[in-house]
Amino acid sequence: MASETPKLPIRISKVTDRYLLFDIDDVMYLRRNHNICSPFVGTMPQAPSQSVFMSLPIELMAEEATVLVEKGVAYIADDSVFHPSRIVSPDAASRNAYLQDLRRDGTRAAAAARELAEYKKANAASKGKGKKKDKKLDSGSAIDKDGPVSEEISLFDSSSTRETKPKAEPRAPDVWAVTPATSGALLTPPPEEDTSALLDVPAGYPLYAHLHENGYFMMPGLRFGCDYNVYPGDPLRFHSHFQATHYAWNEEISLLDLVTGGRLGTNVKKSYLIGGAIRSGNDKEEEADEKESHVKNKASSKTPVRAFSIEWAAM
Amino acid sequence: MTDIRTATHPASSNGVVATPPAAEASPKTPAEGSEASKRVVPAAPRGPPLWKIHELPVPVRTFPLPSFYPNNPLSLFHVAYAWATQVLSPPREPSAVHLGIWSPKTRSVHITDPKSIRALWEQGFYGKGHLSRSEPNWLKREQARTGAHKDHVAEVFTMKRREERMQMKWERAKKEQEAIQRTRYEEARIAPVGPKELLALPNSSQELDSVIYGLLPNGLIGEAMSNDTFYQEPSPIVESNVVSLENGNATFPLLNGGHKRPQTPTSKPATSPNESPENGQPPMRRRKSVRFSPKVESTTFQYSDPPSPKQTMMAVGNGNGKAPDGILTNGASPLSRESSLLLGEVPTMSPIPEADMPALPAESAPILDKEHLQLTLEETFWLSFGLGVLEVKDEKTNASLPTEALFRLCREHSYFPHRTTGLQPDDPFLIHYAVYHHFRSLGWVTRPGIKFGCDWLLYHRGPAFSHAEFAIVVLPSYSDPYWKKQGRDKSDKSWHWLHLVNRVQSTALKTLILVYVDVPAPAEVDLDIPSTLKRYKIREVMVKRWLINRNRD
Repeated sequence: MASETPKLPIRISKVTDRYLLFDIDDVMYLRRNHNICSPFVGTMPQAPSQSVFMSLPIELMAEEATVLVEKGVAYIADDSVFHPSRIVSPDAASRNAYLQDLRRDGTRAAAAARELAEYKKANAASKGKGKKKDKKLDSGSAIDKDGPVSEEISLFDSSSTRETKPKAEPRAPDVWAVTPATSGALLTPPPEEDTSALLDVPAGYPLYAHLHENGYFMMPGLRFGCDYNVYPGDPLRFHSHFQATHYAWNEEISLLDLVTGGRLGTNVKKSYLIGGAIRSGNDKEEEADEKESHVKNKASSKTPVRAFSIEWAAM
Repeated sequence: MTDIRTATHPASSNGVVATPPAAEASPKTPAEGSEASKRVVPAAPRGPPLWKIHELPVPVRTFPLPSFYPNNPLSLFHVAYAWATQVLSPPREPSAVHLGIWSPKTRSVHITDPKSIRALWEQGFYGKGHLSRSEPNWLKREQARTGAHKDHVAEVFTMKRREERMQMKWERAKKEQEAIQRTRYEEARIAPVGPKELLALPNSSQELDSVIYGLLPNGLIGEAMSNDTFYQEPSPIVESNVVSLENGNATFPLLNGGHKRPQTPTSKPATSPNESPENGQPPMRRRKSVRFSPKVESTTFQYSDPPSPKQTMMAVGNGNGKAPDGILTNGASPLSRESSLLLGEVPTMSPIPEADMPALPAESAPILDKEHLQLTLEETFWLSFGLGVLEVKDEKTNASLPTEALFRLCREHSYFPHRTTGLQPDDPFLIHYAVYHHFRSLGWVTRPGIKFGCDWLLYHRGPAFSHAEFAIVVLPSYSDPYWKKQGRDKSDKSWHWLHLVNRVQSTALKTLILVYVDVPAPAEVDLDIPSTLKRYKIREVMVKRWLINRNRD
């Protein structure tokens, strides 16, 4: 569907410890509103024998998934269990909802087709008139007039080619039979039970959450030998400013690692950023606590974080 | 897989004839501050060539017999003479024992005798001058600085290079800023559509130029650019819409009514609305200035900042090629405009010319050499145990430390804080020494590699001749069943770490070698040093980045 905001919460499919997003609308929504832009990992059907340009799905870092779940924007679904269970035996209510959904899509597709036909007709008519007038002026005004309309139509059009397969002939007026390309509609109502236990929150999560909260965009940082590449805005507009690596509050940091990270950071015009959640009091007790309620403790409590950036002074 | 071999003393395995000392190369002090005027700086006396200085690869002298030429019977006498002298009065072995002082505070051994310093540096590149980057040449540098002589000191070259780089970065930043200004102007010129904006455009080419180069105090550009903001009644009040760039999100220009000024300290006096217009020009209606947020500003260096060695350079560009603050301002406040005008003439950032330097009284008191050589634990132990050319004394008691005691001392101090009990077979010292010993025995010049983020650097002949070829990262490998039982057989290094190290080494054009040291189980009985070291095995793994696209032959 070409709706701007997808139905919340968004389903994050967990497939063998990877958090994947399959719907382009979800991806766009998250990128616009929640500073999440992860790499594409899917093969492009048009160009399967290359590994430079990838396509859907995108793979979220565990930190990103955690942030989204914590915000209530998304939920985790273990796809190997969730998907078959929903497909096989939908209850009556969800079955109805699904059929409704299909019908709605069909009407929309039919409406779009109708509009397109009308537009074409109108266009042809205006062209026939325009022959008498000055050509340039006319074309300019036509674009001005029909700008929004044509945009809308192309929007519907692209969506209908992507997700619908008009089987019926164009003369069928009301509802088109639509073959959905994804099973997304079947899976839309999230499961009732809390699935946040499916998340294994990584150790660097507090740092990630801290940076994310401050409006930074994060990408995985393996290329720069760090946990996260931190961008001040959308990565399409900015180079990253920091390479962030998390450390536990009382973890010993090897001096050599600092030197190496700082050196690389300065080489690639970034700063090396280290940070971690502040722990006060007795560490051992807290660690024990943590092990008991691994996910909830970490994910729900807003831990204060400190971060430091390191640069080489003379290079 | 290579065993650790204890090195034999090469001196004892060779023939016996004294050869003239290879390189007598104590730093040649120049003619002491002659009365000659300071302008004419004497060149340093030309020393022996580099290969001659570093002729001996180890601080050990050998005495080979002179060669015998059958067609020259006289050479037989030469051989006989050399042999006889060596037999009658054998040369001291080792020829020179250097004296070092163990300093627990710095966890290193200090060599203070200038002759020993030079010998250890020249014959195998041991240690580091504590006032220098690596070669102990503080004295030379000082002399060059005070103008006693011009000399080639590595640090000076580095300094010069850094200044050039800084200058280059400044130029680049300047160009970028100019490009930004130009684009901004272009945008400003293209943008106006409404009648008011069109009227506000410059009328003559002269005016246009002054707008481009920011000579007019009032922001005509800003006027034209802000056509997307809406206008109040045209009133002759100076009002300024300041767009503060904060985290890349420009807040929208504020309206006339609620003046909420950005907290930028430099802009405050100029942007207050009731300020009298500058230069007596008629007040303009609207200005727009784009500047960095105060947070970013505070990271630029000011002259009032705490001193740093290169303050003059720091004050101009903060080392990142970023322009100093205020450059992005678009003709707003006189202060910031000044700095944007400065783009034209680069502020002098050249180092203070030598003539202006406070000349130290070189004539009155020659500079004392205050530098000593610092040896790491591994270097110390190699020189003392492996080569036998170093005697280490305790700082307090001034008693000479025997090799066994030194071994234990090194192991204890490889922990921080140092520990006297619970020494393990995986002491950092033992592991690193095994590697150091291995590569030194194979003839590599091995030096600490912290500046490249690795444990050791391998030089082919030495840092004076070429760059390091290999970077060594030492990794203890707990492959012994004993460690498996202890649950220590896992490494805590991550892929991120490997990528980090590898990338740093590949930018420095060095080949990364992971050296795995097989840590043995703790010994049941006390072993002597050679048999302790013999239990360590060393494996080398060369790591190379391989890309399918780039490495296609």
